[in-house]
Amino acid sequence: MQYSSQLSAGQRATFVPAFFILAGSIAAAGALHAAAVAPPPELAQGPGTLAPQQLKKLSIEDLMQLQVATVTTASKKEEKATSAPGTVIVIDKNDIRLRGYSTLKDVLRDLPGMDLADNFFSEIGTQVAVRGITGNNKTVVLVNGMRVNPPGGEYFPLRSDFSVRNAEQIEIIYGAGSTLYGQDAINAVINIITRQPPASGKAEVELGGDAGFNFERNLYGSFGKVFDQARNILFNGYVQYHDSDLTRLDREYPRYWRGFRETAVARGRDPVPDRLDFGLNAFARLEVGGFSLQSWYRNSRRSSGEGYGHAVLALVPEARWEDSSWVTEAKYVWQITDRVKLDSTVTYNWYEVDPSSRYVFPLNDRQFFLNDYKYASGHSIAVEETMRVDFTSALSVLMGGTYTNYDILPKSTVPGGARPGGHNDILRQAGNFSYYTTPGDPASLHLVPRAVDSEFERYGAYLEFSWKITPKLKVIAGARVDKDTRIADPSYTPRGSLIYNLTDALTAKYTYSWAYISPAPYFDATYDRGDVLAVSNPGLQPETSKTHEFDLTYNKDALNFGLSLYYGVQSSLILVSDGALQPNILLDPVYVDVQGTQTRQLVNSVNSGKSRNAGVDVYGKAKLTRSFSTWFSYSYTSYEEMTAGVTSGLKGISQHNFRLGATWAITPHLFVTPSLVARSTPRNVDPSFLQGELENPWEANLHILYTPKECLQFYADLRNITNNHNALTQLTPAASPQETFSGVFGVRLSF
Amino acid sequence: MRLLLLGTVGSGLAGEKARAESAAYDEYEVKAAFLFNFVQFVKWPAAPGGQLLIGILGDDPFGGALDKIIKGETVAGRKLAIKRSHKADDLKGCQVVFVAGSERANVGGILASLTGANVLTVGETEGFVKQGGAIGFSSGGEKVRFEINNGAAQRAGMEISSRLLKLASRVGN
Repeated sequence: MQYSSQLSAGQRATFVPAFFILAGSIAAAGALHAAAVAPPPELAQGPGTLAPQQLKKLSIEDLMQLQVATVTTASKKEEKATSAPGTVIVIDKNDIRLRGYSTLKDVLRDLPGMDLADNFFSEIGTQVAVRGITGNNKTVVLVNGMRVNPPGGEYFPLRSDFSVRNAEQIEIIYGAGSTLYGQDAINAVINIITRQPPASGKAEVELGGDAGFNFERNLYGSFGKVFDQARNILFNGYVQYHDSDLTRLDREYPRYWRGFRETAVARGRDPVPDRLDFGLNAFARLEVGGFSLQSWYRNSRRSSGEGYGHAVLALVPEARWEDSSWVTEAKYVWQITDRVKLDSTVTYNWYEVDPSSRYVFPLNDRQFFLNDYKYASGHSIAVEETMRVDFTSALSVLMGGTYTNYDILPKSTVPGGARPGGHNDILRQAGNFSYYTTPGDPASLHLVPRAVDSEFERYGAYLEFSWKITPKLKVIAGARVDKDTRIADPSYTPRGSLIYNLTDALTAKYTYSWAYISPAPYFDATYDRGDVLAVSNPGLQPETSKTHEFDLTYNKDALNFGLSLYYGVQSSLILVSDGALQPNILLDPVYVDVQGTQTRQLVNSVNSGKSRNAGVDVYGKAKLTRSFSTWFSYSYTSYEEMTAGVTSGLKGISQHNFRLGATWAITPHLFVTPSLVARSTPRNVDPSFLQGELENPWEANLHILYTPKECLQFYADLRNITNNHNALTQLTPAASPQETFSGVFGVRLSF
Repeated sequence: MRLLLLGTVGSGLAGEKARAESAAYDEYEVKAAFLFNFVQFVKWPAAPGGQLLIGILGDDPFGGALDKIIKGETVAGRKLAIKRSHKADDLKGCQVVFVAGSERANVGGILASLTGANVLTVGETEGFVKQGGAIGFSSGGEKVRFEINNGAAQRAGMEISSRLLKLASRVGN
């Protein structure tokens, strides 16, 4: 816990990459002796570690012990997707390869019920609304079951620094998932399962790179090897680098950018917006017997002016937002008996905003304000014990206990830029905001710390039964309780599910589940925005969600079809202090000078009101011929929020979403995958300078994969091929222009 | 923490078998391996140099896994081979016929047409053995299980080993 805070910023910046550089060097050395693996997608093996030729060597008794599961996330055990509670969608490595997914946001863009705003806000990157509910802080993201959300409860930074190229599969569990995953699992739980190296013991190495329009370039490398099958000693890992200047939005949307151009020219700056999108992601995993150690690192750097409206935040070179995450997990799986298994896990999670991060905005008619430096850091250490007992083949129980210790310094304004050296140092550097409640009265002075330090603990326990009452009917019932030392009342999150196999192919499910969002330290951020002065609210309570869901899945031969109906109620909403709006306002206007000439509205984040979401997702995949397969989805969602006597609807997202894609194997070596994402006009968006761009936005993409040899692949990935001008929401209610045409051409080598 | 320490001194999963069991497999790769096993648990008349044909009736769900598994294999001196068809009559010369899920609507008719053909029928549709099939995979579970209708096997002139009968989740006649 203290290790990170004792390092200087420079040490911190270099330590983690150095670990992966070392891993990469080992990988490169191994490559010299590597044998050819990685078959082309149509020949790819299943997700198990043994190839069919090895499976046949197992006795029939051993075969009977093999799991033919497809997902592990919904119940923390391996099971068929049709047996898991709730809506479960799996994107496997063939989907990733054929559709050209590189980062997680590429995957989410094609999923039912999801509504993405790519160019949303620098701190967040891509905002993902799920089934009508916005907020990246409401989705739990896992890598091999390891939670990688920032520990301070920040909106998940979904940018170009989350690679999926090494994923075996990605499991998306929709709806409330707090029963097993605790806080923040309101919208979905997403688990990226990385590839296992081949059991044959041959080293698996993949190297790839691509480049294209807008100076976009990507480099990727992975390595995996089983060193000792008998003792289960293996290593795998990857590194992905991304950089891009992004598309020229000023050229594509000149009216929108006019304000920035005029602002920049008046201050002697280049009128071309300075934008960039840098991302680095690395992962390493070591298994020895039942012990595993895995580590995941991401670093992202973008222009801090993205998504906040033209001419408000400047896109000049000084305006940068950079942050990093590093999560490491040690786990031991102890198979106590044939029927009892214990998982012991320790997870360390670290997040930091680079001290050079700042926003730039006009100070006066001739200058920009360049001293709005931001800083945040935090770390948590979590211990979790999970025991699974299979009483019979039909009845099992999962029980677990967790303890997490948090030490968080949420986003703060640090004039002159932070010089990290421990939280107390930052508190001193940040100093105070001051305000007066009575003009001309020095005695009415109040001081508000610019930075706060939040140390707290969270305890959790859960228990869930799974009982297959008949061969067709399964019942799941569970509950969890979490106690946060900052909050008096514990959070309870039960879940119940009935799963009925109507026929071999048709399954019906009903799931009722609760979830909650922790009152994250992030929402305690203090800042002076020029019109509002936001202060922390130590009394903030959890936001809760209760969801009913009915699912119908049909899986027969080459056809997979799903239907999900959902209805959810969210209560005690956490309303973030983004503006001078009720019910966030605390007092009548306050004054930042004793004379009372500069006013601010004092606000904080509060709990208030409730909301409802309801809708339907229809989705499917079909292999129509031996060389042609397709996928589709249609989503309808409605959302209604009642706060402070005001009822509002969908927050800048679309009521209807439609996706269609297909892969055509023109020859056994050439795969063409076009896809389409279309939406109805986003609701409740201020069009600003954008008008037609808001109407029914759609985007067509194309991925072409050519595999002349088993070890060699060429690809072209073209996005928004018709160069459509689209606009979606951003942090303010005003519309934000989205990226236009882009594309890369690349090569991939597998050894 | 105490439990964690206990965990570190306990015996963990190790070895290929354990690795195999800890991973998730494609259902049809496992079923293909089962099918290969089934063939070995039946007494076949020796016919050196001849073929032992496995028929796949309907849409092949194995995706090439069965081909990989039987490649180069022999049972009772007979080389294993695969024949695919959507017509039961085409597969009457096979020793084993796997009735794919795509044929669920016509399982009764298929089994009737194979009666007397000395074929070991294996299926995966619900109620396959009750309808007269010899071996049926159970559906819905996380592990592959199978049922045996020993009477149906005997009527087809097959003798299934007692070991296989013991492992079946249900044996009927």
